Amino acid sequence: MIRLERVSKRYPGSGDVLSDLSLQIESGEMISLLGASGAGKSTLLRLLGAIERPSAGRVEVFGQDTGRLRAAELAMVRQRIGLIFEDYKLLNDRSALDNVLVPLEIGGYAHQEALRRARAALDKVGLGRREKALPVALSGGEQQRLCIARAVVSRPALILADEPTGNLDPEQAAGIADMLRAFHAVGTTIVVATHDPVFRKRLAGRVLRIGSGQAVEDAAGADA
Amino acid sequence: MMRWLSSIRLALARIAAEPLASLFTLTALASAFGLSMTVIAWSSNAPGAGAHDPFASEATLYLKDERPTGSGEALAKRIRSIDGVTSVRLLPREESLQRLQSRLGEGLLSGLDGNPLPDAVIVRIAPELPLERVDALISGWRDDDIVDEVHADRELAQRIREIGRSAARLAHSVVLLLLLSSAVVVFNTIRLQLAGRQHEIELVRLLGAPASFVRRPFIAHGAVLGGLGAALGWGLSSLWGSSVAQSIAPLVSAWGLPAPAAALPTPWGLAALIAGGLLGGATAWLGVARMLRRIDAR
Repeated sequence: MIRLERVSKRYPGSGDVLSDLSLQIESGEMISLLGASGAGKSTLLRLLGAIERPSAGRVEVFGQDTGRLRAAELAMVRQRIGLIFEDYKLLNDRSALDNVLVPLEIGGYAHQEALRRARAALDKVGLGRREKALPVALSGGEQQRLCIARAVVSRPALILADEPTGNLDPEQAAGIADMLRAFHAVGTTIVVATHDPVFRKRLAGRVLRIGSGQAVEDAAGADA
Repeated sequence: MMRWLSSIRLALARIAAEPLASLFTLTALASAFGLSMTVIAWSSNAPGAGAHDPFASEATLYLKDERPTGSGEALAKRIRSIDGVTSVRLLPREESLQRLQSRLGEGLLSGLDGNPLPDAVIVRIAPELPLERVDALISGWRDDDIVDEVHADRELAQRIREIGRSAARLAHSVVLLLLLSSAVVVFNTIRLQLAGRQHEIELVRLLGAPASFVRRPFIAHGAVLGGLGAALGWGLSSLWGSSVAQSIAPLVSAWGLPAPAAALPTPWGLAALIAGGLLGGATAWLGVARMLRRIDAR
């Protein structure tokens, strides 16, 4: 599903954030990316999410080389990916339901079908009764669940989560982990960047440790 | 198509949701469009700007004294048969003198030996006749063997025509400036909308929205603003035009000119609505394209 071949990424005025990184992720895997702050976890997620292009090397997502895709084709790839952000990135002037409707509007769903799917997604994350609430009226945990509902509503093949529990207490983090495991159980590929070992442990699955621009399999982390 | 309709509905809702800001924007647009339409309507009345020149509608052909008998009548008959000539009258020298005497008084002309005035042919030309054709006719009459001189007030007509053309050129420049200012108003309105929704645009791009998804609502908003501005401007232009037309109606009829166009005719007005919508949409497209370039470059 995802293949990185000798990928490097550098930003103007900085050295390589990722350097000569090769990696393969199969469909249906649950991957945890571990590493210190600034190690390149978020950069790797942005490359996987076709949000950025590599400076060198090749990133293949769904069999397509994202470095060679045109803007319209990149958008099509992104529509097949669910993104979960540490800072949620919700539209604060829109209700919970309207926030979840956004990917469905982008996908061109008919309004009634979109409503049905959005409500189902909100039910799935336990926010069915709060569809009219504005994000600011929700707790941190609820906002993150709303972000997850938005990420899964169009049934993406791949979910990328960047520090999804960064702002949450352990109990809420455990709830998010269980939710991601539930989506993984139905075949969704999930890649989570986290520096929270408890959360990672609860997710289980394969562990990649990012450091010095490289990713190495962390057998100990996986066993933990 | 349904997405466009939905975007237009949302644009109307947005305009209604901000009544004061929308009022200012639409007033500015209506003024610019209204002035443009008024200038276009009135510049079409300027001499030389349209198809005819009312100041060249009469010509006097002074005939030579030495000419074959009946040649004046023959010339008048020939001219009468020309397309675009509305009336021809042979004015004998005696009648000319009589007219002059009645205008100046007997005393002033009593010292003259005989009648110094020539016979003349007065020709009225249809105002619709193209200017080139009028010039060709006058030139042909001037070359006629029995014609001594042709007086058609061409110099005055030429001057008025030049003034008319300059006015029309100025009017076109004014229209261009007004349309440019309309575009600037729409551009700035859309720019403000874009700035207010930048976070949303960045987010939907992250979630895989193609550029067309982002552009559509803003283009619809620009097109609705442009179309509404043009519609209101058309109304304003009709009001201004009819009020001015009424006030100059006596002057126009005294000159024997056709009634001036008070406002844009309906087909032109409808075309202006479409043009207003297109101008608004195109300007909005530019605004969104700039922002998308900036967002995508990050």
